[in-house]
Amino acid sequence: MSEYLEFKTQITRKDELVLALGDMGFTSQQIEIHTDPQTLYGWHGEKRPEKSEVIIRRKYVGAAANDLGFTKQADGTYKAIISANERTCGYNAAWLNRLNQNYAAHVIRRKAKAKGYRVTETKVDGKIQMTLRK
Amino acid sequence: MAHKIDITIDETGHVTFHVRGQKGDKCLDIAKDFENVMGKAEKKRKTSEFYEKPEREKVRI
Repeated sequence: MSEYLEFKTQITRKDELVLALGDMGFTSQQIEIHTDPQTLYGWHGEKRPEKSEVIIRRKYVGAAANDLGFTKQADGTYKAIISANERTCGYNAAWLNRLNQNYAAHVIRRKAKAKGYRVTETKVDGKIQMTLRK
Repeated sequence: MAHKIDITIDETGHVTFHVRGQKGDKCLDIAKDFENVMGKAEKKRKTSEFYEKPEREKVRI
């Protein structure tokens, strides 16, 4: 081997974020994608102070749920907007970790394809293992 | 030069990335391609192969 790198995934790319949300079970019809951030709504239908560019509306999140949002920050990364209620209903740190994992895999696949690599991948013990050859 | 990259993405989204079969500083360019889309690397290490000269340079006298 000649170089070894380690990254902690940071979500910066909207397209791959949307693909990763698809992996988490949301359909393309359930994922709103906006150029400008749009208002999030709470479970009563009230406006929340947060706005996001990528939104899963509450009706797709669960009963009596709030909207889930992903808001682009000044540093270019997307911040997940998840209410305390949803964090206790499965949209917790483990869910976000799996989203990060799926996001990373999509970013790598896209870059590898653009660079002409052949990609093979397997999932072992929860880890995605990819080999890129050229 | 043929090379391969082994990548593991764990359950937290932590990515490890090994470039193999590419000697010299070419591997830095390969790594850079992916670093640009993955964000700043937390850890970076050059391995012994990095310090080997590429084949073409070895036969030049």
